Amino acid sequence: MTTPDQPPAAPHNPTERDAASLRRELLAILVLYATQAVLPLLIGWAFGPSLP
Amino acid sequence: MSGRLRTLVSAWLMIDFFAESRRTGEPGSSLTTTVFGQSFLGLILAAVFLPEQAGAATGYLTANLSLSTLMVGIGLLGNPVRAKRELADELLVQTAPLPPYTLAMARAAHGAFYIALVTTGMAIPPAILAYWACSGDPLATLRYLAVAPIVAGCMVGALSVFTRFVHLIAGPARAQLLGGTLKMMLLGGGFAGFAVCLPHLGKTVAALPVPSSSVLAWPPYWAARIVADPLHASGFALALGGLALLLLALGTALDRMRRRRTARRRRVRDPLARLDHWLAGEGPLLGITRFVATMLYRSPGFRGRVLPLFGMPAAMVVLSLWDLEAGHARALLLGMTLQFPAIFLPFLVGFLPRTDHERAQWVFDTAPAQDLAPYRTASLIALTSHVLVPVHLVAMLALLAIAFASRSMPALWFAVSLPVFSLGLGVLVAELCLTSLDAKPFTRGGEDQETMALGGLTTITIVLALAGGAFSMVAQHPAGLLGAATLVTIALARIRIGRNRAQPITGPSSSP
Repeated sequence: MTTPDQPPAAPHNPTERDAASLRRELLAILVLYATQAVLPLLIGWAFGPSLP
Repeated sequence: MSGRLRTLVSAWLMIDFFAESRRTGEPGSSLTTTVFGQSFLGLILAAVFLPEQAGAATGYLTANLSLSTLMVGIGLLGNPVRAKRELADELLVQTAPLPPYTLAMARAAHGAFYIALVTTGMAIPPAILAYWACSGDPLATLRYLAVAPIVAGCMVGALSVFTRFVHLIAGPARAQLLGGTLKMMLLGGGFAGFAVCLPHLGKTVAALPVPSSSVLAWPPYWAARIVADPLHASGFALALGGLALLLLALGTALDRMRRRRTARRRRVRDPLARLDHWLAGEGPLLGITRFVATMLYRSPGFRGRVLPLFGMPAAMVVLSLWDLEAGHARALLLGMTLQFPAIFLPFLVGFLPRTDHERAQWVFDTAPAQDLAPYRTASLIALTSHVLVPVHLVAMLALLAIAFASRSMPALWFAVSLPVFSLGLGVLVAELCLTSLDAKPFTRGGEDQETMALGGLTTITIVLALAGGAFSMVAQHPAGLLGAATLVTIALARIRIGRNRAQPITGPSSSP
């Protein structure tokens, strides 16, 4: 009796996995920076002091 | 960025981002959460206190810069894991093949990146709103983004210089305690400062309810002046740059002092251990040598079985020294007695694989070398440095004392050449005995190996006793010293050959 073929195990490379996690976190922080830039622009444009 | 530098920086960033969350088992990164939270706080402060009139920007900018600076400083202090991380880091980089320049560059790059990463989130909202606060000057935004990390870096530098100094003079525990106290003071002082000064943001320094000198001594105020009016703030720019450079120099000096102190503490002071270093060189061979040498003296079973064997020859040496008038007979007896350490070497080697601890084999299970050649060489070096050298050194000192007491030149030659000869002969005998070593030293548990291969022991005893006796005849002449020196040189050469044979285990081509 033969056993059905098992799917190959997912590649398990801690270094690559860590590097991918680090890139994901840095990307999340970059997105935060972009948001942080947009909101003050709107606030400054709407509520900022009138410029000479 | 070079490969090593990038690897080190990314390893540190990995620890910054994921160490805490992985330790507690939480998903994601604690640092990202912190950055998000602080950025939100920065946005709130920048938005709520945006001045209604353009031009009165210094107070507003000082408040925002103070917030980001204090936040970064508080984040640095009072972290109980930080001291452990620094220790682990010290071990990581001290064992890594890194030149000091690369290490300093990696530290600087990581520090700058980390501070910029944390500060920028808090700096972007006030930097953009600074455009309106500074009467529509777009460069104010850029200036704010440039000085915010610098002033935060100064805070980090000042705090770490202070804690490192305390670490150096009072130890890591007090430094950590002081870090907690400083964190409390920063939190309390920051809260009080904001509570007192925020209602007066649009006014001048003189109008604030705090002494103006304390405001002038607060670096975020200097940075705010640079952002608001760079043309009239060259003094503040110089002060900020000077402060940053001073802190950098102090931090580097303290780091070097600390590392020198660590290196000094780790230096081997034991002369026998230095002899091991000299004979075994570096790498796995030195490790095995130090293990065998330590166990020779510390293993209770080995001491129990082996030390009594030396009782009889010691008694014979004392007896032979007792009668100082016997002349040639005494020299003959001494020549034979001093060979007893070498005569007992087969016993020592026979007991060498025994251990008092079951399953002690695990010590070497992950060692790079599994064949016995380096273990034989290491055992030879350890037996030489920790058995033969001390025994013959003591014998030499005793004989020298007698020679000086009798004021005779032949006695002096004898006192030097006989122990040197016995040492050389002992090393050669040890090498011969160790060819029968069939297990790694101090790893075999149980009493299942009671039978020892001690065949030829009688032959060795007779040959050695004859050699010692024969040498004692010529030991009182300079030619004897020459012969002894030759023998010791041959013995050292044999050790060196064994060391070179054991060296390939340190190379990359070795088999696991």
